[in-house]
Amino acid sequence: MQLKDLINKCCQKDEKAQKLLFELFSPKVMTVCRRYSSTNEDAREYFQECFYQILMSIKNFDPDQGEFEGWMYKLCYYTILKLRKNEVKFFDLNHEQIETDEDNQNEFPVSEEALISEIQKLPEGYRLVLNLYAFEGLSHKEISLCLNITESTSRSQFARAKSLLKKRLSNHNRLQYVSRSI
Amino acid sequence: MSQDQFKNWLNNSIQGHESSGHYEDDWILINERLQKENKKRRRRIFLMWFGGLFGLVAVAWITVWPVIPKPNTSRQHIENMNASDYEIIAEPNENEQLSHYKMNDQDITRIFNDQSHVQNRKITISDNNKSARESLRTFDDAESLNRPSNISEVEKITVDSQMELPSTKLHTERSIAEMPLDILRSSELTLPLNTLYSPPKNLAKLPDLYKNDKNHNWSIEFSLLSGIIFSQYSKFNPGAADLEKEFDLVEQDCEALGVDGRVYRQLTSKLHVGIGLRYSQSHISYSQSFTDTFPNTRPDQLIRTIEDWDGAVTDIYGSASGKTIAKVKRANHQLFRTLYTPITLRYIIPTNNLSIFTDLTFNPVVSRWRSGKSIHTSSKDLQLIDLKERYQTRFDASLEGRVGIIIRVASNFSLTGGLSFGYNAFGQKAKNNLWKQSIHEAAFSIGIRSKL
Repeated sequence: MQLKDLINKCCQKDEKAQKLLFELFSPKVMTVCRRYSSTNEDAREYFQECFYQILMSIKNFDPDQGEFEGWMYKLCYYTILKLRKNEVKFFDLNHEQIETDEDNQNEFPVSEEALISEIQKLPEGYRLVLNLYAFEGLSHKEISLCLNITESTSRSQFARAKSLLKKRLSNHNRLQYVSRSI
Repeated sequence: MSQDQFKNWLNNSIQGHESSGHYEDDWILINERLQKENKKRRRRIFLMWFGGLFGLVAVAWITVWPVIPKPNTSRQHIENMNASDYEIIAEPNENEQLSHYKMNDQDITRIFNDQSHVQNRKITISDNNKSARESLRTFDDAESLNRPSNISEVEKITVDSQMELPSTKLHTERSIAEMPLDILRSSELTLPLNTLYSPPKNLAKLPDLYKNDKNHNWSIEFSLLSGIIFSQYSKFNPGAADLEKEFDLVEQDCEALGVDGRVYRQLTSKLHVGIGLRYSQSHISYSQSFTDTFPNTRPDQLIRTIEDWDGAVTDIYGSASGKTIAKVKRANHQLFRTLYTPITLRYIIPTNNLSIFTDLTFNPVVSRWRSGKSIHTSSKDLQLIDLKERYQTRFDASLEGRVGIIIRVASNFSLTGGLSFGYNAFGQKAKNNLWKQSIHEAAFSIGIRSKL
């Protein structure tokens, strides 16, 4: 069955089609949810809410406006934001406080699972801005409007998230190297 | 690494990543929420339809009501009378209390200014104190149209049954006929109703029951309805919403597996006991009652596909066409309670001794079910997730037509007998329905009606 037919059937509330769609996209949606959450339990909660919203709103999907997956991810982060927006605390940091550890290292040889795991460990505000900026492609201005924060806060949160993530990933790699050496 | 480089690196690192895991439990929870939402949606749709239908009936009522003949409404009658059936009879009985009718301009114009009316009518007058009729006279056209020059003499005239002499009466009638309209309008004229007209003969002989309905009134009804339901079902029910579509496939499957896949037709009986209120206006009445039906006869065992059954498995036959077929015991899927709330619009055709009626009934049904929780299966293994009992409420509706007779036993008490044919218009499409029921229905009803 083609995706288009599957979506049409889901629009008609066909339970089998809904389940098929769920089975098809649940791993990807779960990845998105994990990126936004600090624990797997939270991720699961987001995941259920996101999929419920996807299946309820699927009739609003317009194929002319773009790919289904793109629409689905967008709905996911909207849903998660709606769930978490009021609970997130942002610590406004001065630019001086941000570590400028710009190095020449262009990439970290790290597994996807480890990267997601490290993102999950980031403080909530950092994680949210990082996700919106890096993965959803929102500008700092859009993020500031979306989260009701200043643009500079968004920038600082991202810079801090980046710095922290790099640091942790370096440590992670070092530990792995050591464990392999042993 | 710049911000953009970092962003690209992050995206590339996780792009397309799929988190492996078991999501069956999540699906169960999501599906439950979806089903609940669907139920709510169906309920909203049902209420919308119900409200719409109710509104339509109300609008129809308001629209149709004014054009329905109301034989005992004097004003209406006068307006509708023809010269040919117009006969003035003044035979007041000593004990009779005459109703008085205050005329408006329209009536006056119609009765006294309509030349054909005046020309053709016959006036029969008899004296109250003398039994024999005194005279039978016809108006002289020319004379009746001559208005007296001195109108003050006939300015205040009251005609009542006590007027003694026929000639005086006749004179009075003539005087009224000759009076200008403005005088009539201002003179507080009061006429005994039956000196102006008597109702047409066919209306005069209406049964009392019908006459009792002439005004708005409420009555309470007890009804007992026994019916035969013709239903059609298959022991093997694929459980799909579109039953007919799946029958071919099912029968093939059954043949291959040696399962009884025949379509059964059966007659079952039902008994409604109801109590309701009826609001009557002339020919049409509206009733709302609450009834219950029993017994509930259904097969206790069904053979279904695994995907959507919700009973206990007694036997598994195997798989065909991608479906696992099992025999399911219906022990924990019993009908708990059904509440019928029929709304009836009744049209009465009166005859001499009894009345014939036709009913159109919209019959919303609320059923309460007790069932086990859904059992989910993977393609290979059967997994019994949860068999806890739960209750479901299902809304259904049907349309019924009925014809019958009303026999009046006493002044405020009547018996009703009728034959009805029902068609289940809206229901039986819910996924959890185990069999197709109440497709056609014939029932005989007996009712007792007592006026409040």
